Amino acid sequence: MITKNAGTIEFLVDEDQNFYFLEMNTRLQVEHPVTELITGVDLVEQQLKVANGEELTLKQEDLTIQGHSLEARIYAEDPKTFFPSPGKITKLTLPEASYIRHDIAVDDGYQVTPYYDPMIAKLIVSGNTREEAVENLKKALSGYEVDGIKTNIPLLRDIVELQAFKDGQTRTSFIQEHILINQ
Amino acid sequence: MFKTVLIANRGEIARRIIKTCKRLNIRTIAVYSEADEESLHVREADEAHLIGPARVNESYLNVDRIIEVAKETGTDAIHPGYGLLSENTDFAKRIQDEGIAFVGPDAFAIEKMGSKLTARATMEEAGVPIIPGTNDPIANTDEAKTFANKTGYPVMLKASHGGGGIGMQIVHDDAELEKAFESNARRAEQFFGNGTMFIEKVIEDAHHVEIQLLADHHGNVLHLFDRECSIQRRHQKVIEEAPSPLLTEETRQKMADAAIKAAKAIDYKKCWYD
Repeated sequence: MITKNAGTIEFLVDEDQNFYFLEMNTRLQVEHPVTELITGVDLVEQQLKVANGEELTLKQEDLTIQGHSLEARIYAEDPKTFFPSPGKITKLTLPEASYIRHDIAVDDGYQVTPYYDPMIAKLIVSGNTREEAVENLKKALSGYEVDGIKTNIPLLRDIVELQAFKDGQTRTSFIQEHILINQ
Repeated sequence: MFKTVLIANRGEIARRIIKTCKRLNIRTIAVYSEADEESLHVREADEAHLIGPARVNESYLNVDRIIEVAKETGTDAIHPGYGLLSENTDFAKRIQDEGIAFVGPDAFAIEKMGSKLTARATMEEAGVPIIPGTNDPIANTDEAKTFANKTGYPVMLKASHGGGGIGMQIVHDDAELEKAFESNARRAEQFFGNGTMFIEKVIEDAHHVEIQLLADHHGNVLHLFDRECSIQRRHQKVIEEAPSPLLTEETRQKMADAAIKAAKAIDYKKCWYD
């Protein structure tokens, strides 16, 4: 295989379950943790093994979907105008629970600079079912506080409260349809 | 396993890679810009090296300096994370020439799939369904208009070498297209060093679902199911989940099969052209 590592094939899918190839990404994806949480596979470990010429020891038949996982990206930006919001994080409060994983770049006193991507953290949760994972995300977001800069956390909290989100009606027009229209 | 891995990235992804390396007892080398001196990835790596000023062009994209650090530190492999140098063919080639492994696909694969236009052609040939659109680059605004009017608005402008939503825009009429075409081509040129553009029809009310693959050098290719990444703002993903709540079990299986077929088609192409 020339893809010889972790790759992602992206598709668009319509309501009738038709799917269209969009693109292939030959890198680790930002959202890889949700796959790690439902499969129990450490994708970075697998990448390193493959790059080292080792043969994959995982077998397709051993891979199963275990529960459900959700990831929310935390951006240092104004939740209404979406402008980047650099500055010093005066206080960071992170929710902790067995179902929570934090992939995070910042801590107390961290200076968010304007030079880089405004994504400062990912909040990843799991649950036995989608319903449980959604509830867990809701709880985790309610305990997530970043003081000193603006973040999109209020937007994320709004999203998880929406019935359409609970129902899994997550079309690409979702934010446009359900959030921006009300502002 | 590798003894020393350099992480050519910053922020949460650098920390996440360091974490796995530590678990596997691999020595980690961080690189950082002047703006990131106090960053957590710098503190957590076994060693950290300054590679330049804050601006990415002078630091995290400074290939010469990163390779210099890799050689000085006896690095066996470089993990590029995502963004930055992760899909830079020249970088992958250069480090491989230095005898350092690139934790990613080989340089050829990046080149092949880094161009979205080439990818479209490859997929079409392999029988993987693609969105109706142009198979050749669109040279200028007039050509773009011709296609858009033939297909019907809205259409999606896309940079063939783009990513992360850069060089990509939906346009609803001629006036919007006129405003958007050149500027997107310029941005793509600026960010990716290539301003090649093409156009696709917009699939309305779509979900964005992706299949995770793992492939090794021994011919094995696995899928690790799907992720739903539909909640986006301006093509930046906001909430993702696995598995997708949309797919029926039948579609899930079909898409996984198509994804593996897609990956194998690229492999076949290598045999074909190389």
